[in-house]
Amino acid sequence: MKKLIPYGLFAGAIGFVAVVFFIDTLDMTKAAYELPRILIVLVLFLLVLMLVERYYLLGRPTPLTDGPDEGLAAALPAEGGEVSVSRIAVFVTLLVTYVVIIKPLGYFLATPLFLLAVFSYLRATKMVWIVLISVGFTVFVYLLFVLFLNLPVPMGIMAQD
Amino acid sequence: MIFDAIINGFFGVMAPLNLILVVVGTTIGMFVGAMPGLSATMAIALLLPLTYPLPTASGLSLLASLYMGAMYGGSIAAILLRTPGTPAAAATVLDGYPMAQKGQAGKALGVSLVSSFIGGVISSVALLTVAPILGQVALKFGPVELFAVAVLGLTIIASLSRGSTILGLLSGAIGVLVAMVGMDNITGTPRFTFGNINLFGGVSFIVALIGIFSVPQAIRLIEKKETERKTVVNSITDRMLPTWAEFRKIYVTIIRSSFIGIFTGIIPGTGGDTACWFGYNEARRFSKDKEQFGSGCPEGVAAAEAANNAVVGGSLIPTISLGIPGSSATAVLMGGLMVHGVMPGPTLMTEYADVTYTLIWAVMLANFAILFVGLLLTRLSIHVTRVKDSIMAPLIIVLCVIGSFSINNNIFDVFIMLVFGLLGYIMDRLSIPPAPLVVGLILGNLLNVSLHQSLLMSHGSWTIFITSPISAALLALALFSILQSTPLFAWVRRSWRRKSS
Repeated sequence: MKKLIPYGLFAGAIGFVAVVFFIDTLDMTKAAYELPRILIVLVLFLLVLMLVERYYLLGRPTPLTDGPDEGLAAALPAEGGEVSVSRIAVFVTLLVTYVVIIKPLGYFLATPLFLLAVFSYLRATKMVWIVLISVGFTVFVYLLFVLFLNLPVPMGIMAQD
Repeated sequence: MIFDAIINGFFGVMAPLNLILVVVGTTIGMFVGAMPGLSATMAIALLLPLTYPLPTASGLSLLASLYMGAMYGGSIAAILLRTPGTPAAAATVLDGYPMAQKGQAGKALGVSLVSSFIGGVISSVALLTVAPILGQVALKFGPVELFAVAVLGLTIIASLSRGSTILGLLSGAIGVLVAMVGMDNITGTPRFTFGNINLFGGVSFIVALIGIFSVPQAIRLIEKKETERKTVVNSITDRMLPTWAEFRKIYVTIIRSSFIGIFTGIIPGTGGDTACWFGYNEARRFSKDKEQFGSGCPEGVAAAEAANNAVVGGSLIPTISLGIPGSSATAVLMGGLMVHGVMPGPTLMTEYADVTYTLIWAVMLANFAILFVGLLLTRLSIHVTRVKDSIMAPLIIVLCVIGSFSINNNIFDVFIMLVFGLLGYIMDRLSIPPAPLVVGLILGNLLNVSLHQSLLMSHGSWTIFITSPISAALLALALFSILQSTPLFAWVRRSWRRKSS
């Protein structure tokens, strides 16, 4: 039953968005709401079907729809290691922080800070290499995007008025 | 007229800039493919913003050759590390790694290289001949038939994606619903924008793609504590290219697998990861030395690698002629077309023939680039396989953030990328395939416009979709594609077999 909780949460979140979308269609003309309403009903119906299917599949092995047969699958290397929720949580938090600060701080401050923080947390390599890779990659991306391809990057506090 | 377009496309790809980009794309693809955990789709999505300032044909040549290069690159890690560089190289592990253990790493990589080259060339020829014919048929389609084609594309990709059909259909439906966000093209009504000016133009398709295909991959790279990768070889010392006698033993397998790859690629929803197993299983079935498979048999490597490279041309056939992507990677390539204002669909063969045929020739040329780059740089790529996941993951994130910002010079797009990235990761954890969502996003506008136009033609009557024979046949196929994956169909099939036996 515990396995159903993530699916329930997903169905709840997507279902909520679908209902909000449906309320938004109430002010639209028929031509504008026709297809979106069909889709909203379809999404809600499929969410219910998903939960029913997951409940039905509880305790059963997931059938392979493609890929190796059982004999071949046994010859493949097994995926090792446990998924670490704390690693994911810290990584995602740093990622969200990076996205939030890049506009005010600018690319040149936010990017090396983000890289330094993540590399240090993951203990990716020695500190000297961490600094070199962080600064080197920041400069490389700037050269590639701005100088070579003439694409913009957020400049933040370094922007010229 | 088609012949002229083909010739123009050939001269288009021979432009110095395009030639350089094909070699650059193949090289990047090969190195990305060689890094375990990174897929071709992710690499194409990340590189998409970089093609913005380039001419359309050049940008697409870069992306298509990257796709080809990554298909070969995946075999490098599979052979040297026992870890497929891309999902499409999973079957290569079975015989490639034992060959490396026997001290034949160079030979295994050489067989993979030659098979990838031949598979790619055969599929490029198929693309060059089949796509224009199918494109001519598609030109006769009106809005009613186009609506049916879009529905068929969505249902097939949803029912054939890895996992359950319900999850595939749900993913596709969410994708089409997200595509409804923004100003409606027909009525001019803003839909689901909630007053946010950034959403009036709709959810940026490219930004969503970058998020869905790159952020989950970066998170997957760090979600487990890293263990050191062990290589059986530190350098390749043996000869790479197979001798004529060795080649004679595997060429039938290569040709068979190439056709398997093409047909697998044409079916929307199936890609290199499915084709490599089909190719491998069939090679084993036809082989006189079945017991040799799995213990370092060059035929096993050839079967898997020819099939996965042949998928590229095959999956581009429905993409180019009908506007329905055959795989996740071609869905992103379609995004590349849309970035440059080229709308995928039947007009690709007429209005944008110069771009389309240059792309087709770029796919062909990329195979020769693979052979050249592969022979030159495969030995160097051993070092790339050693790059740590904890170093790659944050670098991918930086490219995602800067890439999605640079498209419209708008920080709002970065937040959209983040939302889709996290949604993609959650879907991945719940085994909900992301490919139908992406296809839904692409086909959403086509569905919306063709539905409006069809209903206008029929004065609001939905029967127009069953009175048109082509549309009725396509919709019946769509219904069949859903029904064939239900328990009801399995029950009918079982009872049919029981009766016949």
